[in-house]
Amino acid sequence: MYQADVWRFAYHLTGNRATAEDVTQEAFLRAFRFLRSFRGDSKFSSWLFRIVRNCSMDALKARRSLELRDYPQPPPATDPATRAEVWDAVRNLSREHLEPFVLIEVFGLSYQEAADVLQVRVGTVKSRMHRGRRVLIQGLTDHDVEEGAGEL
Amino acid sequence: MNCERAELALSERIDGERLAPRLERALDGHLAECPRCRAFEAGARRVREGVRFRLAEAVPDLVEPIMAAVATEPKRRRLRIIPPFEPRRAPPGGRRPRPRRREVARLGVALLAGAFAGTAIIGTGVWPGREPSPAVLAQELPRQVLQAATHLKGYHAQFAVTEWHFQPRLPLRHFTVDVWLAAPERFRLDVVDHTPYPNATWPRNDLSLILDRSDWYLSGPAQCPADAYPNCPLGGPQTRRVDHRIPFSEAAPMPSDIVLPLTTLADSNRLTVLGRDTIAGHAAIRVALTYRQASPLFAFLHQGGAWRPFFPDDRVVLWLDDRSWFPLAYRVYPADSPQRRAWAAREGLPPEPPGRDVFSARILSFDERVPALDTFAIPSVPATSEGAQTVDLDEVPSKVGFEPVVPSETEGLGLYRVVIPPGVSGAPSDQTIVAYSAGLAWLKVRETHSWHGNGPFGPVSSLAERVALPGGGVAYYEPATRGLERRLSIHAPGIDLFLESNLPRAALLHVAASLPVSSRIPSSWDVQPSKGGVAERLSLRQAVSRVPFPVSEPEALPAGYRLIATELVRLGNLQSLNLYFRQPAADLEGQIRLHIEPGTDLPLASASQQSAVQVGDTPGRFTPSRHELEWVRDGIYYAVDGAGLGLSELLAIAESLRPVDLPSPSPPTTTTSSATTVPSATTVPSTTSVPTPTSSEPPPAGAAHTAEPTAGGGTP
Repeated sequence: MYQADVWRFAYHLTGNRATAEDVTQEAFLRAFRFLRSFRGDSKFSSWLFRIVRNCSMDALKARRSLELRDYPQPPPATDPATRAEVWDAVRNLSREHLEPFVLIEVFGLSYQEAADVLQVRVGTVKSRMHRGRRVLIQGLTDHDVEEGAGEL
Repeated sequence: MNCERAELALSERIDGERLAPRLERALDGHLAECPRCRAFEAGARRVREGVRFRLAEAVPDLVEPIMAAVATEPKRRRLRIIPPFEPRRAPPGGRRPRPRRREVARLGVALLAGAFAGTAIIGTGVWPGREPSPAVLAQELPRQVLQAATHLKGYHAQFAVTEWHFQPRLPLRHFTVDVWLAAPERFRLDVVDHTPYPNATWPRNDLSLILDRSDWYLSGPAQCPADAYPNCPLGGPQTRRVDHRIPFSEAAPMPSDIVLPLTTLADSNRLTVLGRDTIAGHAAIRVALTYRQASPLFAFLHQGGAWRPFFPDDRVVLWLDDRSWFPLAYRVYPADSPQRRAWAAREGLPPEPPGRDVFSARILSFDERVPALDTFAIPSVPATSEGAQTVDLDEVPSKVGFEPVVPSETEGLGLYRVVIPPGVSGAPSDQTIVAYSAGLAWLKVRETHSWHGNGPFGPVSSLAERVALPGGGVAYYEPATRGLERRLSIHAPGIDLFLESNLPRAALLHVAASLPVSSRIPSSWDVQPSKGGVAERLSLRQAVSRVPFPVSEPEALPAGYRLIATELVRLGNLQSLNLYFRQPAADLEGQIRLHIEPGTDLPLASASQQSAVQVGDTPGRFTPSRHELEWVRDGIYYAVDGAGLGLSELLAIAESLRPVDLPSPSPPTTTTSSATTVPSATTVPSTTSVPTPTSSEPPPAGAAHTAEPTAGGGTP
């Protein structure tokens, strides 16, 4: 179960399936190696995400090539227009905006947990999350915003 | 409060952060007056929906490589050695995961797996104290709903229902729907129409469905085509009553998915968890699926009355109570495709933008007490009989001449009702149906000693999947389809059994395995007449060796689909192959078929709407009405169809065709897993490759069990 989430996070950060697989392996290896250093001052999940993020950054530095991004393919189900648009916009976020967005929006972490992973202050997460979100919404405003399904 | 501040606070609130009450009030005050910030909020929700939809993507299973990698850590190296690990498959793009070809300590791996499990990895919640991820929830849901269903005793709820575009003069109709249940088989559904009709000639869509075990009653308006209104010539309400009903009859059904969507959510493969909301004060999980998948939830609409139509690909958003799993609300959103628009035009519907719901149901109240039994009293009107004769179990031998077989395992279900179904001409047959139930979960076993058909007994196809029963023996298995639940047909010398149940597949197989019969499949059933020729069922391996042309199979299929049968069709000298793919639990979308035969041209056009498409580098043809894609490559004609697939999905399947890659001959695998397919009858493993040693070290004795071959198509 963890493995799937670790892979997803790595995939969002690296944008490449094969790299994400390598990062997942590497992250678990590091996690295992440092399991004893896990101090319990943050959640295990935050700690693991932090390792995944570091591994992803290492992998990206080693690769340093954006052509490797094979993500996101337009996902194949209902309402494809919205999703293709949204994912196009997500792909173009800067890393500063992408990381909190993925942790909070995709993985459902709290701001505090995201701050633990990213090793920044909660206020920083808050403003980055908001700025990233605004960039995404602006990307969608040339289409009229319809009544969303969440407003019951 | 200015917009900048409001947006920041909105962002926090959307992400589930707690706002100070004063900030909360200021934000709501600002939102009420500021269209720009409302647009921001709507945009944020749209982004969320777009993002969360993606979570059901295929995640590679890396547990083995991780465990292998972890176990190669120097400290653990002294432990017992097993063959080195080889990555199972090169990922697209040609890069392989970094192979770790040092020896692997199996014991160490096991210890580590345990260690990680102990660190709160495994369990229902992935993130302790917080929400499991949507993908995890999607996997968990069917099990949770079943759990709730087996414990459900009683229920009453009232829904407010709104329907758009029933008829041009009636763009909006309003209803309340009351639903009562006393498990297992007392059910009542009342629809009251609150629409202000222009005048009294319009028939009101008031509906009442009552079910009291063997009695079933329906009263509702006559169904007229929508454009006939307001003058429906068929007149007032019509009533229908059925008595001597067969337990859990599909002909006089109980649309209980409106209470708990057991059939709708039987399979998580295509279910997407969108997030959380609060509905009528209850915490709810919001999931999305297609109308086709959600159709059991709307079954009550098909029982009677006149309702607007829906397109199979329309999107249903469903809110489930996160404790009881009752549906609290659901909405239907139009699909966004040219086919949908053409269909809407044919149905006389106005343009329907995909962001606007066209049908909405929302719970007003619910209650889990068992309703008073007189709620289910059925008006005395003339009845037609379904012919089932309810008897006691110990009376059966004197009536039909045999004692019914009884499973020793019933997954917690208790004996509910025993009936003798009608035979031809309405007289009692020499068959029995023994029904078991717990809450809304049920199972029925139908038995005969005089089946002479050339295929499985009961509504089960001779092309159904053949499954090995856990204790030995073989059965035919069919997933849930519209109207019928999961089914098994079992043949044993002198006795044929048909099982139907809304239990999950594994549970059904477990029950079947506890029946005191030794099942087998007569070889004569493998050959069936087929349109002027014969169709022979065989394994993919046999097919490859028998036909004089190369055989391909798709590597990419929609989630959950797998090969369940291969059929060789002979018409004179012509030979062709059909490969059938289905989903294991619920198959509301239907099967996918791949047809392969020698040929150099596409057959003549056979549908009015067809379009030329490119399949890789080959010209092909798409027939939307049949969901079919055809093409010719290297002297072979291919056709893929079914399951309501669109062009892009069909193309993905077509372009993933690869020659069947048969593993080197090996003795037939014997499997003990409950859900495995019988190797000789259906699939040959093709998507999993067995790790092979690549280092120079010979694999030590006793290590072979680490490289267990996986039987084809095991459920994920």
